[in-house]
Amino acid sequence: MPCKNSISTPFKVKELKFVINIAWNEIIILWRRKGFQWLLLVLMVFTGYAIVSGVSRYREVHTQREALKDSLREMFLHQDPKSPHMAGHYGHIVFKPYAILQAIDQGVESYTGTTIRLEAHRQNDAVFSPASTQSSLIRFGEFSFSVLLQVVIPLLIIFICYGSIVTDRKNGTLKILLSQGASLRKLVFSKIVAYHTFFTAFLVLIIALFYLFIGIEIGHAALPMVTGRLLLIIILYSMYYGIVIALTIYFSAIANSIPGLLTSLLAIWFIWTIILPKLTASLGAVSYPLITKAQFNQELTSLKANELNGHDWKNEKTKAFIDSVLTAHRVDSIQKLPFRLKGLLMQADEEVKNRIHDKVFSNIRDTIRLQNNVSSFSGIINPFIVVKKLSMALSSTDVYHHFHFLEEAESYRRRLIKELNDEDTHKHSEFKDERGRVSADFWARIQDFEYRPAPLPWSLRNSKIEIAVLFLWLFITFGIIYNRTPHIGIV
Amino acid sequence: MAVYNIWHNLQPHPTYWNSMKQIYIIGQYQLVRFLRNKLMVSSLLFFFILCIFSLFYGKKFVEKQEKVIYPIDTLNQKRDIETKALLSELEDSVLTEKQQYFALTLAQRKGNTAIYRPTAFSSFSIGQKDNYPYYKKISFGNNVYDVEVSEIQNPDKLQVGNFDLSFMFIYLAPLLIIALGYNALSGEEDNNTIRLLKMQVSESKIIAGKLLFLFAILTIAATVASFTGFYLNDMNIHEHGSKLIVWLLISYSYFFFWIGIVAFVISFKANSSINALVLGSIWIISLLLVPSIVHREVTSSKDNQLVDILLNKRGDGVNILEIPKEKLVDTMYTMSHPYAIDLDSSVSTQIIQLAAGTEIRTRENNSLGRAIVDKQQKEYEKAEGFNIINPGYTIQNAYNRLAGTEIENYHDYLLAAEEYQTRMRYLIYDYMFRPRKFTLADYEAFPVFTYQQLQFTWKACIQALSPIYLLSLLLYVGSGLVIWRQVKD
Repeated sequence: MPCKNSISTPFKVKELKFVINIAWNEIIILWRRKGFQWLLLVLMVFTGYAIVSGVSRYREVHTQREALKDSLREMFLHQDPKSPHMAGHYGHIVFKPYAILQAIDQGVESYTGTTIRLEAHRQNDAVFSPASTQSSLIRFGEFSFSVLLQVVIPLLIIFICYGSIVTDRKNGTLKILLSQGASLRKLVFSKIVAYHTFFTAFLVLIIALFYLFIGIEIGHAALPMVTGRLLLIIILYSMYYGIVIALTIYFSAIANSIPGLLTSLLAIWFIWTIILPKLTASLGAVSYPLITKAQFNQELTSLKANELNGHDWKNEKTKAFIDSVLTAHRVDSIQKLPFRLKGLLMQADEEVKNRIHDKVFSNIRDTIRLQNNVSSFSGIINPFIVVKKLSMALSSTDVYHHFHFLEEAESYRRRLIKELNDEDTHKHSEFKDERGRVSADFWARIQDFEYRPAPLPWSLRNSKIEIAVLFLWLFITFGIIYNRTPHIGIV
Repeated sequence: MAVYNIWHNLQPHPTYWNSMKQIYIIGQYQLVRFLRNKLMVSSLLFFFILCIFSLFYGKKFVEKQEKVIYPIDTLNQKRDIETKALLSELEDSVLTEKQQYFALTLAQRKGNTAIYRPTAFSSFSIGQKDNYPYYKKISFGNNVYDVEVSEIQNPDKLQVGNFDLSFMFIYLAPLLIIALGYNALSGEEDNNTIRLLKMQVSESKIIAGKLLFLFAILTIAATVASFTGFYLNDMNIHEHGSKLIVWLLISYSYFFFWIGIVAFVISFKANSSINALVLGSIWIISLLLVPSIVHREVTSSKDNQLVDILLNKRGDGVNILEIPKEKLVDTMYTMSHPYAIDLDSSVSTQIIQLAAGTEIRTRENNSLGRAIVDKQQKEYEKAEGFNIINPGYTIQNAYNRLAGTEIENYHDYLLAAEEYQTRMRYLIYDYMFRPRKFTLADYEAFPVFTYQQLQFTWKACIQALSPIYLLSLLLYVGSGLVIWRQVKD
């Protein structure tokens, strides 16, 4: 007696063969459609433009920022002789590098500052956001690969797949097809496999093309840095297309009117892509309002008021600090100290201010995170927002990557100011002249700011909600299709 | 008799009235169909509810900016009262040089925060108002164009954009037009009612009647929403009435344009699905792809110029101390001055050097800022050159100009701030060159930054919308020709 498995195995192979046959036929039919060929051609033109313009924009901005970085390094190295304290006030200017993956997804880069002046006592914000120097045209969005991947291709999927079952039903061919022994569930899944295979293949092709272009631009040695991210981008969009294709085909299977189906799908696309992102971002901003700059300054002032102030020697905390230093070194006057007190005091002042700034800035970042969580959770009803946020995260262009850059720049500032304060503390140093001014050799010792982009696991850690919601969408979509399809009427 | 003949000739032909009546009947028929279709009625209701939400959102935005401006105004008023009291006290006494300098310093603080206030219509169309700094301190010789982050913002929120009324009209209204109009003819064919209708009226009249009805309900919805916003923002009919009419004109022109697109597409008599596909594609192309591609093509990086401003601020620019003193004095005599200065022999060389140093540094700072403004202006004009293929932006730009939230308004504000600074600076030079007692009357006459927003007139509006009118004309003529050819064939 044959065991249960031996019976089911050939049956599964048969099922699989059916799915492959239907899927293959669907792809062939799709490929032969004139309208589809035109749409594909238009898409290819836009893709080509997105790649070429994205890479050329990268070249323009990257070259400009690298040149600026070099000239500012030169200025840093050859600055006029000055005391370490004055050098701290002069500071340094650093730039946010233009990431190559911005050619895929511009993210929030146009709305964040690109340049920071690093100086003593102050934590300046990044300035010169590109959007603040442009007209309202920028608010229509910036053309990039992500516009195609997130907005245009899903729409193309709707245009191509909406009629996949409903047309067969209207033509009466659905009945004939199912009378040959296939179930509607198998048919629906076969069509999903067909379209999904096609769009994923297309996705792989265009990302490969992009990979080739950036390989030429940034050099093959730098490619491994983006390979992992690009692979995840393919997986991300493949999952999203899977959801859109599955839903479109499912709706096609339950629809009675072709125009009604198409307008409903377009309405869903519009609500997902245009309305909900704006609506949820607005709700987030209203629910968790950010403090105003005046409130921010007031908070800083009030927190600093009761703390040590390196520039005010009459300040109680400053006096207490000086007394503690004198006591620790068992001397009764500042002149008897084996080092210059000013440098030590300035470093103490710096650390107090750092602590205050960290507190106030972290409150602001927490509020921004809370605002953004509103739209992240809205992913439960809108997979587009999830994909949008994950795409930005994988391209290192979301707000958290901007914060990462700010943190890196800030830690460089702290190291730089500490070096200067330490130098100021020395009574005698090989790098100082008789007037206490530091020499060019000192500047050469200080490494320039090199921004190390956040690693991939870091990027993913910030997107846990989005990843969970995306898998939930996949699970629920296919779960519904699997369970509900057998109950759909054929006629 | 002659008058009667002329009058008679001017009267439309009776068939004209008959045609109008037929179109009106089709409109009525469409109204009944519309009211019976729950989905369509709820779409319009949804549109209207979102309009109301957008109005509240815009109001909240304006209130937030006003909340930030209010303490600045209060502080200025407080300072003003304090300074006046002080100067009144000193009115009869002889001021020492130090007191004299102090009085002049106080005067500089008089209304010296240049504020770019939101207008009443900013809540309707926020434009770039959330992206531009809207207040800055103007001092004797600071950089007016210094780019500082004026308010703390969430970049995610900025990137997504604002949910204001202009967004509703620009993005959602065309979709509503498409949803209600794509099957104006093919829907009748699907329902097998086309033959019945065609027995009574021609196809062109069916299209005209249905689309006129569509235009009517959309204009009613937009008018009601706009008036709601008008009252929600406590606008005054005398002050803002004409602007509201311009606002409505822009909106109606845009709806008319989109109805023209629908008329053109459906005149080809394709089936409903093809119409929906084509119209959906036009929507995507005109509102997503074209503006973003135009933006990509017209903008370029301004990093180099922006960094120059930062370097100048840090002190890397012109070092006044390195300029020989004689040359500094010469410069003051040779440079052109926007306001008259009295540099007679009684003025000390030291004072002239001080003024020359300030003048050179301030002009250098501001010239760097103006270079960026010029570059932005060129990009802005270049973008306008594409308006014929970029209807969404054309309308957004018109709305923003009316609301004072476009880049040209921001530039105008910056130039006004520079002008104010120059006026203030030259008045101070005058006190430096001809020292005299600074009295309360002098303080009262000291300039205060007052900014009059650029006016967006009817003429400017019609001019700005001319690409929309041209496109509309082409679309309606095109659809008329298509129908005419079909009838002829």
